[in-house]
Amino acid sequence: MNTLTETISETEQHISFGNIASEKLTPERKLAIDTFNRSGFPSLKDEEWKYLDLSVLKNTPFNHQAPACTKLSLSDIEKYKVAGADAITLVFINGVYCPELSSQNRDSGFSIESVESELASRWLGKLAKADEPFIALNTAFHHGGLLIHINAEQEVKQTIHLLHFNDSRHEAVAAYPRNLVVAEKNSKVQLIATYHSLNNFTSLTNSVTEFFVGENAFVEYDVKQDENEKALQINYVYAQQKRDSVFDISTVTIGGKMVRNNLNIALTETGGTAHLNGLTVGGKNQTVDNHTLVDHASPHCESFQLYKNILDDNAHGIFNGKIFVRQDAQKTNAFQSSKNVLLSDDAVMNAKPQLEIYADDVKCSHGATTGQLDEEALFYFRSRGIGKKDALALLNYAFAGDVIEKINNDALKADLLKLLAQKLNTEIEFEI
Amino acid sequence: MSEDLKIIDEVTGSDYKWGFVSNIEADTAPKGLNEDIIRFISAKKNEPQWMLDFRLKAFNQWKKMEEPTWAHVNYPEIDFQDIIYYSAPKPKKTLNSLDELDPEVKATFDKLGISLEEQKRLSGVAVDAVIDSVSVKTTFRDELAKLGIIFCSFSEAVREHPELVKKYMGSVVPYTDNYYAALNSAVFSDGSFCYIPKGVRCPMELSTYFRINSAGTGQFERTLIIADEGAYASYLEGCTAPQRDENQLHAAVVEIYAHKDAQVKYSTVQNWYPGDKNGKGGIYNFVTKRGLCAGERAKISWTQVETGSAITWKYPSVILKGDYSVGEFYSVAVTNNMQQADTGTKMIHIGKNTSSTIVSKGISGGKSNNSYRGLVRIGKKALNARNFSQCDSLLLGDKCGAHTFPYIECSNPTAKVEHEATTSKVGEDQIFYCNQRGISTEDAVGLIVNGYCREVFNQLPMEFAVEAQKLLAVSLEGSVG
Repeated sequence: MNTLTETISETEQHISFGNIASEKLTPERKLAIDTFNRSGFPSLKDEEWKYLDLSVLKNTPFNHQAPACTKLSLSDIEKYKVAGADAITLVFINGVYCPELSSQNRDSGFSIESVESELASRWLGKLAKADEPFIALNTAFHHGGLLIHINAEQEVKQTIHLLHFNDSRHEAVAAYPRNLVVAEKNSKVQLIATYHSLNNFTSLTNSVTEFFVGENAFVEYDVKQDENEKALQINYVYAQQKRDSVFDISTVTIGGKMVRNNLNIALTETGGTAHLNGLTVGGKNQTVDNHTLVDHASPHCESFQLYKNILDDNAHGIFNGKIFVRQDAQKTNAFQSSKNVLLSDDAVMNAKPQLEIYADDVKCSHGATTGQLDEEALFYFRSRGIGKKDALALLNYAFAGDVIEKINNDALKADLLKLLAQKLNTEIEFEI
Repeated sequence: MSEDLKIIDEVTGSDYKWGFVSNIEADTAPKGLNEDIIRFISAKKNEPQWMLDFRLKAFNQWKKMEEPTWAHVNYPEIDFQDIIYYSAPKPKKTLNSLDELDPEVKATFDKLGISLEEQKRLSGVAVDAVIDSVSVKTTFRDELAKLGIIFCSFSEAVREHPELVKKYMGSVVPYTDNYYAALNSAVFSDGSFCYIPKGVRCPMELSTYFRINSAGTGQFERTLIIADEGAYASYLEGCTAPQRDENQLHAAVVEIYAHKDAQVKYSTVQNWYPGDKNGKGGIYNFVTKRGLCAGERAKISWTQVETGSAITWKYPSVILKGDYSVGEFYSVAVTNNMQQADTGTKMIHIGKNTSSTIVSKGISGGKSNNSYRGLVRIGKKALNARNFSQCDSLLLGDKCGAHTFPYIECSNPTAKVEHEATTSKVGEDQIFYCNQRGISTEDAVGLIVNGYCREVFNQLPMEFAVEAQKLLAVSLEGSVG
């Protein structure tokens, strides 16, 4: 019972604006830190944070206002450019946009601007409300984020790659990337976000990205999380979809000590479609927690969720997905599937697929399975001279392939397959 | 379509058919809850000291606990000091035959259609009739006694078989378990006790008829069923209650202890007063039901048909401790008007090669909310555990809600856990198909809903299956011919 109050006093100790002069702070930031200091970090008793142990995060004294470290050179980041040769790379270090490392040649279909600009204020924080503790922290501390604005009737031909680094080589840094994507009417864009960490110390990446998908717009957002074993990540993605729009998101989590993803998709007008795909390949002491909420607020919308976990060693997988169908959202089709494979005795999977439905003329279903790979399939391989390790890897590859296939970028796909092979400890070269 | 709406309106608009009040003199305790009330209850029942100690311990625990709020239900705060915790029909000598039964009690049963005589003669069901907390009459006891089966009221068991009660009471649902279990442990008035000795197969369905009677009386039943090695019992529990305007709290505890090779089947038909169309009145049904498969190859099966109560908050669970043990849960939950149900099960797999099956069918109409909430936990040592869950929801109106909140916790790679859930309405094409063949829309809805529940009804014993279908017919009044 006392831990809650302790946490609050702890946060009051650790989390403040330090020596920044109060008049430089916007009212939003002040309000957000107050909100956070009132609520403190969530605990295991919070239904939304059940199963996820945040003690490492709570007990690490992070620097919340780390400057962007520009000691990276273009050649340092070359190997992280996985979105293909013609992709537009936007580099963020500790959440701060670094123009000198980013691509200069840009498609004319979109523009970038600071997320703190006046234009951005039309959208910023409209979806991600600061009453969630981690969003409150992000709202209080983010700086250097971008508004990516795709003009109406434009198709951005090049993939936009948001390359995120958390630089915790000299101290434990809490980075607060905050980006905003606005896709106007009839536009089309593909974005890729990859998260990496440079660590000697524990790092925290607390990222918030808001998407506004306009009428008949198409947005694909693929996320690769490949931080190292000292990295903690809390990632929020919000999307608001207008009439007949499509929003597809695929999240592939390979690295990181603890990763928590929160997806909130609101289908606010008729005819919207959302695809949410997730793949986690976890080992060692990794914990990966995927939370989704698809809010069907209008009729004739569709959503599809596919989440897969492959868990080895002491890995802990969590899936908590919710389909919420409001009373007006008749003719909704919403599906959700969570499939999980446990490879070791110590791996744990907790799944909580939920339906909350207030409209009658709907088709909604969800399914969840947890088990191990098919013995007979394994036997089939082995009887044909394929060793156990490779046979397992192939089966896992087939299992994971379902999600990787959904990504529409060949370079990223190839990169993910390479990572997958590495993680499954096999020499086989996978291809789609 | 307007035809459909009309039917749904009729379906959801039907009144509670079983509401009536019988005037039996009740011996009631004053309102409120404190140690004195607990002593009063204990003294009233001539309980030994250890029983009173148990109650007081539970009461002290309860005072420390907080009312749970996680369920998907809304209700005004309960004033636990505004409840009468004990009410018994005045003792009128021990009865020698059914003829001596209070004529009003008898009439009550007759209205419910469970004439004791008829049941005794025709169906061979031993009925332990509970009216407002005290067992009035137990039939067929002699016949059961010949086999060594003990089937009596809980208070009798406390007096006559203290060693069994002491050993098993609280072993499956400890008084520390949850808020309402603690409350029940402190103030339980009576209930049923059943012990099936080693290797005995109980020749008849055991049954208790619950009635909530005096206004403002909380009903705190406590049932304990013990099946010794290789024993088998099928237990029926059915409920109807008279119409009342004031919310009544019901916090029962049911414990089942199954030893090696034992099998217990527990079936419930619950039709307490659900409140009127505006959500006024109705029973709050906050129940803790749990079975423990303690030995190898033990099996516990819960079947429930829930049509009543303003609020249902109930999760019959099975702890699969013994290797190869089996747990089953079959449920039909119907909510209508302003009813709220948050029900489901917990299957805790501990032993090796354990398996569990969950089939839950929710039907919501009116402005009701119907939630399935279930937990499947596969422990680290539960090798080759197997679970299959299926939760379907059917929506009969556009103002009701159907929700599914499953929790799946798996810590063993050899386990196979599957969960499926769907939500839909009665298909227009299905109704059209029936219409085409000369079946009216009314009948079609009844047919489809009955078919939808068939999987669960099939699990019910014969006597109950009939009653369950009748209840469904009443709940779906106007659509079933």
